[in-house]
Amino acid sequence: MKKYIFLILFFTFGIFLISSIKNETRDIEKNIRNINAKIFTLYAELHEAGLDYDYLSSPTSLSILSENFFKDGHGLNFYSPRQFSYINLEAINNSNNQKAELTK
Amino acid sequence: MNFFKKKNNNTQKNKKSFYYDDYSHANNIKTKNNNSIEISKNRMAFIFFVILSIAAILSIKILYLSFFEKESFSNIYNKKNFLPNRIDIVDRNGEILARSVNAWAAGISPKLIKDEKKLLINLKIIFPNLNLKKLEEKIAKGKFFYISRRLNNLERDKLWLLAKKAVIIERKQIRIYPHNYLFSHVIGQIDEDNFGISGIEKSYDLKLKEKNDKNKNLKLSLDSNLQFLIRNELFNGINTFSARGSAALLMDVTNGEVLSLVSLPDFNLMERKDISDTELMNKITLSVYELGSVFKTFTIAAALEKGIVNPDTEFQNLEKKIKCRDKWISEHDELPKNLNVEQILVRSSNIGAIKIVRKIGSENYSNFLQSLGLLGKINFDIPEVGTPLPFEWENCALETASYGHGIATTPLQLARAYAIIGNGGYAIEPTLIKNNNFQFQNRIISQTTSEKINKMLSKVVKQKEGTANLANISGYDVGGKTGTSKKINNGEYTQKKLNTFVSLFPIKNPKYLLLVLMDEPKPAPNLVYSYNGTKISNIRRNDSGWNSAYIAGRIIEKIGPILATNNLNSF
Repeated sequence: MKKYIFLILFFTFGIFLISSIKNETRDIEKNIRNINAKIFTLYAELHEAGLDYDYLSSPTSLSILSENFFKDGHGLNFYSPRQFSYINLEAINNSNNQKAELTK
Repeated sequence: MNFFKKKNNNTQKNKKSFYYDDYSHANNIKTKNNNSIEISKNRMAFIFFVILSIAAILSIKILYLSFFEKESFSNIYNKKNFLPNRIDIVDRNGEILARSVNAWAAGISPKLIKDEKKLLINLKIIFPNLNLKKLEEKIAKGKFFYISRRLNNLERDKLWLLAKKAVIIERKQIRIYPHNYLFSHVIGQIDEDNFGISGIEKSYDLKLKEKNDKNKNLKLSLDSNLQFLIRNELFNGINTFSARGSAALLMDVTNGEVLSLVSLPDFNLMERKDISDTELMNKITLSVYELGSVFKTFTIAAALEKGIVNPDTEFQNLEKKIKCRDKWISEHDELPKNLNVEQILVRSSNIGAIKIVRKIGSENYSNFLQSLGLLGKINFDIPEVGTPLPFEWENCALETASYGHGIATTPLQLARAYAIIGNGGYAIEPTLIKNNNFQFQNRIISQTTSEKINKMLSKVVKQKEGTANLANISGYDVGGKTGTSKKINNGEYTQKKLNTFVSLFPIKNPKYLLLVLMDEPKPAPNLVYSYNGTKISNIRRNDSGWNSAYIAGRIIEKIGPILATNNLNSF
């Protein structure tokens, strides 16, 4: 008799177990689908945002923006090697001055 | 199985003796009952086995999804949902030059139209530029057609709100070129059916349609920043010299990678409709020109390579003009009577070049030009490539070819030939595709000849007598050669000029080649420029490659810092 009770209990447990596992699986799959949809939307947005970024940071766009917003109205500045050496000299002089100040 | 065994045992017992019949009968009933319980137990066991199997399968599926398919459910699966029908085209720094994105398209299915007039009025309100007559004609044909292939969100919403069955709105992928004009002659376009019809889009059509790897892209050797700076300077040049057009090519002579290719006028890739406009031809790759004195470099290189002359070999008492068959050939300027080979190149002497080429001979000279790839069609990464005009070495052709007249080729081939001379004499093929594994293989000319020519080209720019002083940009060690030719119309030379300058820098060990071409430049007397600390104005020249050298100088000044910082070893 014990065996039968055990079997019935086991049978009932099995039915509930299957049902709960099935529900869990369905929920998980549903979640996966929802997350997938969100990821897809985000991926598509990222895909287009990447394009927007490259458009806005393109040299042509930057040049137009610089002409519109830089106060001096000269747009983008381009440096010659002479200006590079000037910058380097300035940097060296600055660091030397700082050193001198620190040693005082 | 036990059940069957026991059943057999009972049967055997029954067969033993009839004395046991009564007992056996009672026993049989008992056994029967036992048997039916056994059967039920087995059935239940079987059902449990099935239930457990299903549970196990589902559990395994959960575990599988959780652990093993993690990756596919997070990334790749989603990317599969958005499959660009063409992969991206990017520049050497990874900046996007072409990308496919989702968009909306609207079409009309005439069979589903209920009230045509009402529909047409509604469409006219949404699309004010719509040609109603054409639309009516299309509707009359009864076949589905598109009214707009690129709807913006507002137009799409308005069409949705019409709620007309006949208006069909569908998702469609479109190709976006974020740089609009900048790479028009290189990237090309695709048609409505996603087939490349020009440029890289055509020649790499199959590769661009590959869908195996979503992260893949086609990396070009071009640089957006350099392209922008060069295009800007060319535009300035066109305005300054009222030129019809211009073009430039920047190439790495150590591997053939093209960093910039501009041809003006150009077109907006997002708007262009007519692809057969001859004004919009690619001047670097497709147009075939007589390029003038830039060919003198090849004449002298051929003579040096054959050991016929040295840079110091002097030609004395050079005539002011030479008669070749029935034509008179003269110098473009007054030059000294005695010139050595180096000065022939520096001062761009036509007569000197003729004297040298006569020593070389037509067969040797032809073979040399052939080895530099100037006479045959070049293999390049875009389909818009011109074929040099067939050249016959007769009737004074050798003499005129020595200074670049009568012989026509594409500027791209000219650039390749100069790159071979500049890089130490090795063969290279210009390419638009980033190639990190290039190695020199075939030698075309000797290292010695290359070094000698580079030294001479340096003097063309640096010496006062040189024709390209305006390209002498401090810090970049430029060398090069100018060239001017008269354009041909209906088989006759006109006064319209084509101005070319090919430069190599840093000339001691060339890394870059810049070719600048000005189409029909005119004198610019109002131009004021600074040269060697003095301001010069009222220049009425448009010959000897003067204009192109001036533009090339300005370009090198702008792009130099980018190139120098990217290649500290060379500069």
